[in-house]
Amino acid sequence: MAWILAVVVFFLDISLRIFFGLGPASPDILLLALLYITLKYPVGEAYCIAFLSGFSWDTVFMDNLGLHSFLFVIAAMITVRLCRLIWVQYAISRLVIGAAACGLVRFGEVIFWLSNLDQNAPIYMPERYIITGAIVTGVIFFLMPWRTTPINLPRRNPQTIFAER
Amino acid sequence: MLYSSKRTAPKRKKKIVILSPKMLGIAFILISLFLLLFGSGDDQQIASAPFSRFLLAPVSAIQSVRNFCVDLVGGLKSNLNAKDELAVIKEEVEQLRKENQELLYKLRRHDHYREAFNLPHEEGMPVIIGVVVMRPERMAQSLIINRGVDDGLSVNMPALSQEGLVGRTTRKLTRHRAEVMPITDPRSAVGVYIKGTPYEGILRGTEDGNNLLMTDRFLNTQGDETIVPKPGDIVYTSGHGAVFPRDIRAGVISDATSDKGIVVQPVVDINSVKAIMVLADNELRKEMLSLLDEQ
Repeated sequence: MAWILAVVVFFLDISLRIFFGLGPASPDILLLALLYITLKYPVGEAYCIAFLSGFSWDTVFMDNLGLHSFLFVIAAMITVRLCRLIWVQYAISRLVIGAAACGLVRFGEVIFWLSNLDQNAPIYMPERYIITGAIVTGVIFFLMPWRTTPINLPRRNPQTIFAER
Repeated sequence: MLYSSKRTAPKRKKKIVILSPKMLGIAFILISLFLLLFGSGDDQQIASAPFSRFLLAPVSAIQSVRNFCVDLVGGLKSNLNAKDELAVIKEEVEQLRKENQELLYKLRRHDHYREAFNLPHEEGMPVIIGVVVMRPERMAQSLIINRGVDDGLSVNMPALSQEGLVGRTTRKLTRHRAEVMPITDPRSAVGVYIKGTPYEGILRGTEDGNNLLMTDRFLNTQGDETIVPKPGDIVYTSGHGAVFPRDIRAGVISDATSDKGIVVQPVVDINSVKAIMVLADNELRKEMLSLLDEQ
């Protein structure tokens, strides 16, 4: 199911960009789907999907192979870490996760492009690209309907988790 | 005594799991880094693979559907005022016929002079025609065409359509695909002059992606300051910078009184262009580019 979702969202994202010409302030729909898969499906499966979708993304958008697969896997790993610290059932937590993941991916893209492609970097006003993208993606993840499952943390509660740290 | 401090539970050996999700993630990161470091050469030519073609086929199909929809809507719109357009086109055709005859006459005279002075014939510019397979529109405007390094494309080649200037190729090149940065992109800058006036300048893309802005205006000849640019004047490439050849139509002035610069409407509609002609390198351009690289 996760694989089908990833393939459908991948082509949906590309279709939306082709049809409506989504600009830099558009949300990263594929990244949102990856975050959803990371939080809802087994982690190993999520890493595989993150790597392959990043690889496909690089192939379609003619980026350097490995750039998006690297960033997507890192984003998935950070999400796994974050969801242990903050409860994903809360919308505000999802906003933080979405914004952080998108900010990380876009920051990584910009750093790589600016250091590697010089004047041919496919961005204009990178700070706006990063900030607006992160905010929009976070807000959409915030608004995403989420089935509220009971929080299951055996023998631990959030206070002890934070106290340990 | 239920609890004895001396009794200790047997120590459990920690299992080292190699195929854990964490290790899988680390392995993927290492593979990605390997691809990033060794996947592309110095000239950014990413090796094209069957996977790329397999993936691009549905993307091209999506682009074709979008083009079809745009054509359909455009066709329906234009049918409403087809009669008026036909009259305008007829007038234009007549005018072009006259211009064509004049140009043919001039060309013949030009050839006669060349023969009389025993001058060599001018080298023609080879053209590579590509079809737009995708408009990513992710960060900035760009077009991806179905021609690449194998077809003779390289970085900074001028791209044209029948109407005029489209843009130039960027460093994103593969064996069978290339990215074209249109002149409407905010990063684009083209040296231009205004026909009928002594003004030259730099034509830049704007953020909205629909108009162009001619900035850094200067006079190329003295004494003609009275001739000012006005709406309707045509802007041509000046040939400065060695990327674009001279006298390619770039746009038409729509507003000459703006504070930011002269507002120019591009002659080519980037959103609807389907085929692109890329001017390939000839010997003269190669020499000029090599000189620029040395500098």
